[in-house]
Amino acid sequence: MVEGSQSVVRESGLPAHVVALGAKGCLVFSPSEVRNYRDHLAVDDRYSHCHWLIQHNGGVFLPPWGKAEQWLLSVQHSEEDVERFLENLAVFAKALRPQPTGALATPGRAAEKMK
Amino acid sequence: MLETTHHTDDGPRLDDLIDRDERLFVERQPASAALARRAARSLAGGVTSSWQIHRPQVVWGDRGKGSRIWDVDGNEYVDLHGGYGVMLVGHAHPAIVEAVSARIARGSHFAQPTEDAAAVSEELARRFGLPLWRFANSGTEATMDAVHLMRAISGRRKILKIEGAYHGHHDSVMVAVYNGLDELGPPDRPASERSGAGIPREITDLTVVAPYNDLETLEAIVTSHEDDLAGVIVEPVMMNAGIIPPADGYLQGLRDVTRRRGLLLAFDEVKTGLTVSPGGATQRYGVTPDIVCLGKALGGGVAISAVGGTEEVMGHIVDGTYDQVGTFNGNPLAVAGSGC
Repeated sequence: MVEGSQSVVRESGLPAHVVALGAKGCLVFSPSEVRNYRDHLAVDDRYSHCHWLIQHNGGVFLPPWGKAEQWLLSVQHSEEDVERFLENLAVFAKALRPQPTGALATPGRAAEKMK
Repeated sequence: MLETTHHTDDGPRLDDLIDRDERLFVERQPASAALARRAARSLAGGVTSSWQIHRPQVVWGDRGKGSRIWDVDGNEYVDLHGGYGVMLVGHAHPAIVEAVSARIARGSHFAQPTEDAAAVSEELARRFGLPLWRFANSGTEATMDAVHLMRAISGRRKILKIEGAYHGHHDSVMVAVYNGLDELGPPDRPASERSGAGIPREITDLTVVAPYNDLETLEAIVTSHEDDLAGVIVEPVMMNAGIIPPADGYLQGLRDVTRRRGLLLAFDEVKTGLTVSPGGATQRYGVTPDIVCLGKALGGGVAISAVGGTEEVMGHIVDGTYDQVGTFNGNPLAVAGSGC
């Protein structure tokens, strides 16, 4: 989860970094370290809301209020679950930093697979 | 409401994507929208907790199994929400189903302890290195007990909390939680700004605020209030601002400062307990406070919280100085879920 997220962030150039401890983790949409609440306030919450929406429409339910919250991996999560999250993250990254055509990436591909 | 700085080049594209995906979100969830309209006539705001309200609309749940949940429209999700960090065991885990089913078949409430309560407290003592525990029903109750204990033991009125940290919604800790920058005061002397209506200023003024990850400023603030300061409550890993880990040595520094100044130290591990390691941040960072508060993941999806402490701290419950009470404390169903 962490390595995959870091890889998408690195390859896409998203202004983000991953923070994880044990079963919990989050994407912090800031290129710099957040050390306290005032740093946190300065993070643009549109990134986390947009990411939350694209994950949701793609079949991954992250906590609402995404800027403030964290993911939780349970003892029953699988590699397949992680792959779906990473696929949606890549969709988000591509939509935000599109290829030269400028077309918005299609949302919800993972969700379509579930039908 | 959180205040943010909107200054990125991605801004226009973010706005377009949000607009597009909020429309798609709503299109996929007509049954949720219908339930929201119905519920708004009998549930205040159409939800059971204000934390359930989010853009573009509330998602109404149907069921969960393993790592997956389904909404009332039949949409399936990989659940990384976990009900705000509760479902560490996943949904409908066979061990939880068996334990809770067996318990409810034998009666679900007596307001007398059941054997599971002893077993769970023994395990918590082992994991967190604190010998004595009590149960409650929510993280809010656990941190309220912690604050009451610090005041009861010290005979002092004030507590210190960290700026931006959420410890539940009782009066003493609804201070400098989700406030905007314009309300926070100077960084080296943060304001005790209240974060909710219905809480008298006379109470919130008794809560002193310090920045996270800054021992020098914290100690200076402690000095200013030392004669009337009972203790410090802190999330060892700040978790209502994404995840902000403690700087190297910060937690040990907090332990040292509080010991040196004769203050009690409470770790609010409602979010970190069990999830960042089996013994929470206490175990992970090797720093043991006087009091630990647990909740969320403790019950495997059943509502329960706990407050644990040293012999000295919890002795004030044992001798009746502080009455830690509650009809549902240690409810048999809850400790059955916790005991798996």
